[in-house]
Amino acid sequence: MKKKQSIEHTQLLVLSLLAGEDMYGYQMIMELARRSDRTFEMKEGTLYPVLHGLEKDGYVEAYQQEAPTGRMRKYYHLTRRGGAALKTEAEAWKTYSGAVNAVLRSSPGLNLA
Amino acid sequence: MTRREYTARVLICLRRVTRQEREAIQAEIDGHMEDHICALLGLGYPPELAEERTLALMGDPAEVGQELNRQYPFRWLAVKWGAIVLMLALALLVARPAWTWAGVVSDNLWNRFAPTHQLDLRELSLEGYVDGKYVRIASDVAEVDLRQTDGGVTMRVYQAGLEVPLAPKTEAWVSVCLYSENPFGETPQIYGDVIDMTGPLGREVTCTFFSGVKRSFTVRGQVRRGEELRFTYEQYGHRFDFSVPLPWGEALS
Repeated sequence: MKKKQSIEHTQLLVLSLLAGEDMYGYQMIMELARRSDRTFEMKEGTLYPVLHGLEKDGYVEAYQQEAPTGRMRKYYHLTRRGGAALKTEAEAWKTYSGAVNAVLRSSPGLNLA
Repeated sequence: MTRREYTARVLICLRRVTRQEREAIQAEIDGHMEDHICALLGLGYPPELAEERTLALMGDPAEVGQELNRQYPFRWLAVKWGAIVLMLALALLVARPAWTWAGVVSDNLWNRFAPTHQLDLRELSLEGYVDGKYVRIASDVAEVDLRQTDGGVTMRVYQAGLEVPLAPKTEAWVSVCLYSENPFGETPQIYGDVIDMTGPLGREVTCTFFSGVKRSFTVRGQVRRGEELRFTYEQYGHRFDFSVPLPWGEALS
């Protein structure tokens, strides 16, 4: 591996979710499960440390918006810095996963080619 | 465990957040569970089961709380409290000259018009209560009013007393204060180590200071029956020579 990733995989997934639209926490959990065909079903409470860490680092910013029930919801928005980090880390992930796939495909016993 | 208990268990782990941050986290996690419960209710779940399933999917509250706590480094709280302490220190620094000036004016006025308010020989004791009786430093005290001015600063002797008036030799005490002729003018504070105090030849004269009183003190010296207490005070370029009559009264008859 050329370098250690500066953000973790869960953070990368969250950033990629926010690349399309601003979302609130529960919406992210649902969307992540849907897009991964329920492969990524994280413990829902653990999403918030990830989001607050990204906010602290300036990758996302939060704002309040009223929900249909009248309650205020906290929405997260991808910042320019977060977008740049997403692009960099997605490239790194693509390289890394491509390399892993190449090794796996070259293993005769696995028949992945 | 209920929804409320889950949130409480998360919040109890947060040790480095402000009150506003804590309230925001509480609202966010509680809102998340409400969203999830509403979604399950929409699918036909009974309320108890919807809450139970939601809580099961949230994960360990202690783990969530500890991870959240890590996102709020101590330094931010330290910066906040540091700023508050700095502001208080600056406020005190600004207020101190005004406070000092008020003290000078107050001393000038009290010492000029009512010096016993600051220091009263009739109330002073070095030993306090002995065998249930309050032992004063001077048994007979008389009011006197001797003033000398030098360089805009006046020294006033306003009380004189004797420890044992009938003895051939005894300790004499006088109350002394300083004030500026200009009520708003600076009056030197009294510091024992810079006072040049001399008495009659061969006699020791000493000053006694009392805590919290900056411009009043007592002068003490041994005298023979009928004598006056003589002393010279010199400090910061001001010099005063006094010969203070003492309340011998019946002791002379």
